[in-house]
Amino acid sequence: MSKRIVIFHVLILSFLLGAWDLFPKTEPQIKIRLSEVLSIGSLEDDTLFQWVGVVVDEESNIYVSDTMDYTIKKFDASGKLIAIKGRRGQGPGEFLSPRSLAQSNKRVYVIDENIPGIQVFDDQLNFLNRLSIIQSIADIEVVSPDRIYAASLSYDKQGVIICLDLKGGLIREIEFGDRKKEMLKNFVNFEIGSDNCFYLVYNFDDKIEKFDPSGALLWSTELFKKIKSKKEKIRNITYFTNIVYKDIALDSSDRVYVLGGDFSDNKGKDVYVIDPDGSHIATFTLPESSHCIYIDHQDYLYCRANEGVTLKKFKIIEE
Amino acid sequence: MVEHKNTGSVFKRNNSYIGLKLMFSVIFITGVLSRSMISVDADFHTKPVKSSDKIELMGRGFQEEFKKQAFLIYIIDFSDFMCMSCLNSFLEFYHMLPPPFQGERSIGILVDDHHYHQKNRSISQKIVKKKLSGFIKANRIGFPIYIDSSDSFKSLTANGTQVMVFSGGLDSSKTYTFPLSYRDREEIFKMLF
Repeated sequence: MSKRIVIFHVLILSFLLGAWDLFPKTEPQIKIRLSEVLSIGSLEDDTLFQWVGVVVDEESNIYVSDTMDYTIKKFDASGKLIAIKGRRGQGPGEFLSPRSLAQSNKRVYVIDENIPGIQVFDDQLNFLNRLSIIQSIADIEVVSPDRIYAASLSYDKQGVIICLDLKGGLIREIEFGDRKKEMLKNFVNFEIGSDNCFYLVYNFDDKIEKFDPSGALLWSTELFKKIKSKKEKIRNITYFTNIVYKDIALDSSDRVYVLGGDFSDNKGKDVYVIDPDGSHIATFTLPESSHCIYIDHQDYLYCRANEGVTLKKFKIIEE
Repeated sequence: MVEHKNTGSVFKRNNSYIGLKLMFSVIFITGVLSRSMISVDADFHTKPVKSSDKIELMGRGFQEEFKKQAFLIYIIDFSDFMCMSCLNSFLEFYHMLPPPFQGERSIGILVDDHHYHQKNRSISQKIVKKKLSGFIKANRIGFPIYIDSSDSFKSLTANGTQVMVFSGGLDSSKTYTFPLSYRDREEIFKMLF
């Protein structure tokens, strides 16, 4: 009888220890809240239909890609629409599924999920040229006028961030992720910090990583332990069905903001704040579910509302 | 071209119940639609449908009109249009059709599953309406698309977005799933003309 009680207690203890591992490793240290400062697009107007990508220039103009009407749109700092370009097609200035945007030096760079390459526009959204790149691109960052970084959509290959010159010529590649060939395993969103380090979140893996400018891994962290994205087999190809992290953004002090996916308490709403050394220091929740987050040069945070019909801009307030 | 299995059934003229079946399907569709309160029409504006409008459009007049002429009913699932080949096929097919089939001789029904994810159903419906109006405007769709907020057509899109083709005089009907094959298109054009 006593043996049974001992075994029972050992089992309970093991269960509790196992469950403890499921919680985030570190306790948040600071509190963050958001204060809305701007809202663009509503259910009553035809400003936005389903925006996907957003980027803000030095003058606080806001550029948005809208996948439902195949356009890119420019708003001034007050939210007034000042330019709209694009239509359905594969020609210059046309889109099938416009996605991420980047900007630098009065140039706006747009990637399309279904058209290889990068389209370049001026700050009035006039088409300038297309950079020919064979592989599809998941995310793009332009940190200087002559350096374009893009994460390629690696379906079953080693993850790679490619660095291109202004003509689309390959300068170098930065490898990341698992060499094991697994569908979508190395899908990432990335940001480049003020120290030129690369910060990555994996969409289907519990991994947030920082690489130095040469491509050496500095740290790797995970917020959920023992969580794995589920897989589903469709026509002999195995896909992940749960998104672990949806997006990443950096503020001016290189704090990392990570938008949680299906494993967060509030799916698509919880944002985890990580300091540049990889420690989880805060968690806050967006008012509505978003597919992405963006932080501008003045540390304002942008995210979705009404499933992409509305773009919200918030001031980040630390308490 | 990609071959695929169509899920719909073909009714032949020699089937003694053909008239009855087709009438039931049209009455069912128009009946369900007439209960729906959301319409997004071809003038690119979303607006609620007045009861009198609905009765006129979807009621007896509609049935009488469509008994004589061939017509198309699209059952549309937006999530299916994430597949680029499905969306391309839909748009290519639509823009190949002669003007009457790009307008008054076609209707669309959008299957709306957004409210399963939203607590506030009325906001969810407004979001779907907004996205649909953007889709109609950007793709120059000329026929009205009704939102199936009662889920009556959800099961029909299990295999993807479909077009139901009704030949003139309701002789026959067949359902095709996008993306259409070359043979599908040929069959549809034969039924329409």
